[in-house]
Amino acid sequence: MGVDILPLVTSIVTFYGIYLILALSFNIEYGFAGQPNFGKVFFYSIGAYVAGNFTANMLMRASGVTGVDFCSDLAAEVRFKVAMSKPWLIIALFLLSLLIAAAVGGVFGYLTSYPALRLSGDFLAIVLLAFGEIGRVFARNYTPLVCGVYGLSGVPNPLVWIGDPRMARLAYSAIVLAIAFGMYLLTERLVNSPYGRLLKSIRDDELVSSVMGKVTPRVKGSALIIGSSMAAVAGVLYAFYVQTVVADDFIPIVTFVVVTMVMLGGVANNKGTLLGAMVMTLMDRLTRASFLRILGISVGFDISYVRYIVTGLLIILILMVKPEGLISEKPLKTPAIEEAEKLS
Amino acid sequence: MAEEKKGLKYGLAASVLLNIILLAGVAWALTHPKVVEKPAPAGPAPTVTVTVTATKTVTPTAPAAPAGIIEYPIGLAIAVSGPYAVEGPYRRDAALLAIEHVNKMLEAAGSPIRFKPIHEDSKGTAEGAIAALEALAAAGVKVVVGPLSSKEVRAVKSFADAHKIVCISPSSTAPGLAVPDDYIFRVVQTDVAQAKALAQVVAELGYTKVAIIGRDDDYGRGIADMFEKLFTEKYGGTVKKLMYTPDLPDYSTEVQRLAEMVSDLGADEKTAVLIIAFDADGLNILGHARLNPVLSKVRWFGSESLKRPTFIPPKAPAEIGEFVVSVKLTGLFPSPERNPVTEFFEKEYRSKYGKDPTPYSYYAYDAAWLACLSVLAAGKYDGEAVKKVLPTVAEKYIGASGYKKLDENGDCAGSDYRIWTVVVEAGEYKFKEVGVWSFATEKVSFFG
Amino acid sequence: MEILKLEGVRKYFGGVRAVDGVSFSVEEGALLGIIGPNGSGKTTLFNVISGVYKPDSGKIYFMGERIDGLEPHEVFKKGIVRSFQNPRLFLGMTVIENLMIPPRGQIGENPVKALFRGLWARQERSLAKKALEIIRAHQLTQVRLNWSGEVSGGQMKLIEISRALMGEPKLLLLDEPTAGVAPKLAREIFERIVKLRDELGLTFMIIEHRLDVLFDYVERVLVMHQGKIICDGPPDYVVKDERVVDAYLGE
Ligand SMILES: Nc1ncnc2c1ncn2[C@@H]1O[C@H](COP(=O)(O)OP(=O)(O)OP(=O)(O)O)[C@@H](O)[C@H]1O
Ligand SMILES: [Mg+2]
Repeated sequence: MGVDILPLVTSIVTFYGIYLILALSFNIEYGFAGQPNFGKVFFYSIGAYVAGNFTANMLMRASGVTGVDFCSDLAAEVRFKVAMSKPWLIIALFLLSLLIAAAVGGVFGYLTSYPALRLSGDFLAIVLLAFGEIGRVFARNYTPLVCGVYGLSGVPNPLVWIGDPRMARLAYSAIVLAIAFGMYLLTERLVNSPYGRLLKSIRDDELVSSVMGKVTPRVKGSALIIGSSMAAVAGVLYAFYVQTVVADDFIPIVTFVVVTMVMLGGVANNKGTLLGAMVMTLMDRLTRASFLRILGISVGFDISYVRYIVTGLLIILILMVKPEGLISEKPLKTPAIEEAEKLS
Repeated sequence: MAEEKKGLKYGLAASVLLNIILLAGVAWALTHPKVVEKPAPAGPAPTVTVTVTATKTVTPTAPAAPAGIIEYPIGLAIAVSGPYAVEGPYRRDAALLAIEHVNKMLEAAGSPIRFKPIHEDSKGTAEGAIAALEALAAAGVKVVVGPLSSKEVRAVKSFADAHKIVCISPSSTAPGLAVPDDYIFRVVQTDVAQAKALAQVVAELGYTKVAIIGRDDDYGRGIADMFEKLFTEKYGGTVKKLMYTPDLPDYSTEVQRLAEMVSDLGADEKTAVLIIAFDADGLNILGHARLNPVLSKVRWFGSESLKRPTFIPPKAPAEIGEFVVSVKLTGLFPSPERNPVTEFFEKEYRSKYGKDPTPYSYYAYDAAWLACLSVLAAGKYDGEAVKKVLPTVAEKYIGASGYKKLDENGDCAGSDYRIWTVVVEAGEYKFKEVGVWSFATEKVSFFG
Repeated sequence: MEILKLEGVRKYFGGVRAVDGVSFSVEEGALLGIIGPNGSGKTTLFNVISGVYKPDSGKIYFMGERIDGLEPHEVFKKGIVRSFQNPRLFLGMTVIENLMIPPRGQIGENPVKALFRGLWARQERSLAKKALEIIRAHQLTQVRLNWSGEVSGGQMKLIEISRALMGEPKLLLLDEPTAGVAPKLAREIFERIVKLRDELGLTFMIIEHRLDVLFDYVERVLVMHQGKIICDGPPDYVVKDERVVDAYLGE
């Protein structure tokens, strides 16, 4: 049949962008600061909830339609119509969602850093993992947020007014990629600094860091705020892409995909994160039966499970050969290192 | 400074690479504004095969199909992991069986056309479903069986409409998704129908008070909410609801609370329990309930998902079997009376996979048949054309799950419901049909 | 002026009386040696002073202020910096980066300001120059860009001292600074310590097992035994003390 590469391109680019942001945020928290935030999916979901709830409510208001159940598919149709007719509105809502989600994500990051001030390592991981699950259970039971178990649909692509939905998706994926790359540059700036060094000192030996005058709980908290804020931004990008927000989609497996990306690429190394996220995304998209068919490969059996196993094995293999990840940690690129290099 | 530049270089390289992919996509989109439509072969001996011409631009190797054979892909966006790790494969297998049967028919008729299933695991999540559809779309798939759940269907709806990909869901039942003139078709009745029939059956059997224990997901809530509304408003009954989180390891506290609810309702001959559960949670709940004197005293009803071999021996423990018989567990299952296709499907499914089909497998089988028949009827592999003929094809079709006439929203127009209960015959546990609820007349009648 | 004063400080670990009612005071600008057999409580004393452990009882004053019960970073801020007996370097960093951790008031440690290099690059460079100076003095120039785990054991000890010096201390607690260091370099280090004391007026408390080297530089020695101070005086007084000889021989 006619191969139509466009959906695959948008799919790869968008999900790469979204997961890159998540992976970068985890790298800041875990790779640099040593705080395993296994509640990543929770902060990701916060962004999606904010984007969904805020955008949907605002669009309903702008539509002037009343008496329609916010969660109904009819309401979703109404929202799409409004977005189609008011480009500036949906773009404004998209941008505002990004800002609000970043702020709300940061606040929740701060609140959850409370246990982080007191717990270390494994305990923190478990507490945050549980936190994520509690958040999901809350969202599925509190229907005004994102319509509980049914999920909220009708969160229009901010470029839906372009008309051609395929072009709208493609253009949106370019926006996601641009934001993700911007996040990469910011993360690079953030960590190649005394702040990055400070995070690493806590990761390497928290007691010594504190003996050297660092208020370690505060610093750990700041890393969690930054990471959570970034994850929430990723959640917004996700919601506007999938155009539905369902609480039950934010399950721990998402966190583990992110963790794997960082471990595979190499911790405390943003280039590694770029690579790890890329490898994982491509492995997912390019081992599918559909893609094999594009290549003209026809398999006689269902490869769904096989590809999961193969992907898993490949990751294990890579980590066995290179336990430090594909790209190993490098000294931070700070003026101090430059001065030291000048000497010779 | 050199180091910093190098970092930037890596980043730029990555973004350049992605942008190349992106630009390639744009270029492709611009040069191929529409997916090339291949005219359907007119005669019995076509010389050009669709597969070869279509894939020529991408790769010289075409999928292995014998010369002269025209292959149409049917996407199966069916979750086989996450919440569907157990149930999903049953439905996928049913769809595969249907495609096999269609191909046999075509082969016997000397037709050059064959259907090729391409399965993508949609994982039961919005993200998984959209990714599956994107992958299928890239491979040129225009007709898809799936996704399974309503939330997945919602997630792919705008994508399917935009790319003119027909999706036939075997099991999405949310009433809200009933939208006319879209690319989403559903071959199962919405929850409204089941809840309606169930409420009537329960009421006519003389029960006025019902305690519901149900999964807190779109499936459980759909039935429970609708049942509560109808049972209280139309039949003046009383309902208490307990919705539980799916996939917990144990439900003893929930069962305890259910017993309290039943006691509050009186636990008399007018009180019943309605359970809306899947396999693992259902078994666990029944296992606890069997030991509870209050819950053993009242009548039980169940959603159609309780009509699975899982719940009766030999698969279930003997104690569970005894319990469901003693509380006369009764439920519905949508279908007209069994028809020859039902029998044929069950026989074929068992002999091929060595297991019994689950209730929704029948729908998956029919969804796949409808997909293939509609492509054949359309005369070309084109989403728009398939969408146009599908309602007509469905109207003339009787499948393993019965009549498949669709309403103006592209959803199953509704059908009769069988009333089943569990009995022991010659030492063997069985689901026995004891009555029927007629869609046309909205009347309940019991056999014998 | 007395810079540090301990009154009846006690720290037990279960039944182990690691520090058992210690009282003494240190004059500003002093060079104080602390000796004692293994397990006599010297390191624990440092841990209690630097806030790593809270004392079970007793009071600690630094420049007239109570500091017992303070967090380690608060003690650091008052001006007490320490090194560790078993080197505890930041292993995910290079040697120079280890030295860049203690300096106070680094602008770029604020995550927002970190994004703007212009705000802190100049400060960073001048701190780096100071660090490289200390590195040179401890003969670490060759390994300044090594990962801190990839240096010899002696070099690790030198990095410990260097890092502590970067903390701009008023009082420095050095726990066996020259263990594993070549004798010649060990003496050079002590000479530097004396110079720092003379020029900047820093105060030093130094735990040392190499008595021959230590006694050539310090004016006063505390001898610990089973958590108690059994002798306090100039080196030549201490070596003649019977209790000290017993303590060492009795082990
Ligand atoms: N964290 C701890 N938990 C339990 N016991 C401890 C702890 N730290 C020290 N001790 C015990 O306290 C006593 C004093 O130990 P400390 O390390 O202070 O001795 P030290 O004089 O520094 O010895 P060394 O010369 O070997 O370094 C020892 O018996 C030691 O085992
Ligand atoms: Mg010691």
